[in-house]
Amino acid sequence: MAIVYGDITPIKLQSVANNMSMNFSLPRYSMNYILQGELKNASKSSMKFLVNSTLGVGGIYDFSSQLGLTSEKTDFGETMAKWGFREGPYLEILVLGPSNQRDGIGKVVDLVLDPVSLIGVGAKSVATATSVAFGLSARSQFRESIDSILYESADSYAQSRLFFLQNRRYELGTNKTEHYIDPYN
Amino acid sequence: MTVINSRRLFLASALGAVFWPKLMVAFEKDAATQIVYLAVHEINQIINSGNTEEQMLKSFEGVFNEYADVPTIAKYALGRDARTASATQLKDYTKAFSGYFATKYGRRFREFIGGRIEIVKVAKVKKYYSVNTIAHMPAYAPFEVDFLVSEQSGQPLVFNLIIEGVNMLLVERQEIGALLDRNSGKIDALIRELKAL
Repeated sequence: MAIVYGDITPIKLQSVANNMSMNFSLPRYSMNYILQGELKNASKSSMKFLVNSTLGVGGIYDFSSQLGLTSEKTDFGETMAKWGFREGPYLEILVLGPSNQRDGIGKVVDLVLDPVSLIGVGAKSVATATSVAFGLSARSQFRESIDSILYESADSYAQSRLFFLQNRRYELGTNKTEHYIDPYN
Repeated sequence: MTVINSRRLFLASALGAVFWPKLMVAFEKDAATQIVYLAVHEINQIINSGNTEEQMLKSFEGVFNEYADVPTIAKYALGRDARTASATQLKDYTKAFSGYFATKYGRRFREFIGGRIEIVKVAKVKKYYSVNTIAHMPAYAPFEVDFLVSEQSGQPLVFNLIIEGVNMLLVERQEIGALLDRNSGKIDALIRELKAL
């Protein structure tokens, strides 16, 4: 499905959907940054949301990036990691793909406590539609790499588990204590 | 020898003793950067050569064998079974692994056309050097690739890659392990399968 979406949807339309999806994510980033005590990042993502919603016409244009205003992604899974929760067992969630217990709970919390739903049901449904579209375009961009893991591997479950867990720990910066491999010994 | 001269000599050798390790570190650091620079340069040339995929894969295998410690990587991927394998088996397996690796990663080259890899910084970590790079590829957001270089084989060679936190040696040990399981733990059957992939 992702591949069909990627092939038939013009790049420009995809990038509009991506921008809007990103804009609707920003209040969620702000909320999580506040919960993490990262006030500088929280104000950055709030600022970006304000600029893109006004000058960027409801988030259609990523106006703030041209001003050099960027915001790193975050989520409630990361917030819980900062609070000291362990990642728990690896999970494969239907449709959403590889995850772990902590991030699975995080995804539910992010969905339920999304500040965008405070604006109204309309805003929330637009946000959902654009995030689905963004998910599809991201998946179609990375399709070759994802496909190579899933279809060419002798044990695709084990490989996607390894890829997810290592990449996620790297994103959260919790891989620092991981044992380094010295193949010469 | 006068008193002054011997003092000078003493001073010079003391200075040398203090600075020599630092000089060595700088030299090894340069060697690690150099090897990654050359490998990256050759890979960039292959990507943008306009050759057929088959030719590109062949060139990539050449680069892999020149700049990476293939026997060490292959042996690590095989894990414990490397100890029970005969010398001939290990040699055949290493050759088959080299082809498998070049094909697997080289097939991604189509996505890399028009891209470039930029060296950011080098750091000494325990017994090796970590050369940190950023890959700028047209279809992706920039991502981090660390080339780990060691001189433990006698010359500076790449022995591992860390791509956005994902450790290539671990990935390959798991994959080769799964392939070995699929072939009932028989190394000769594994070699045949690697050649066919």
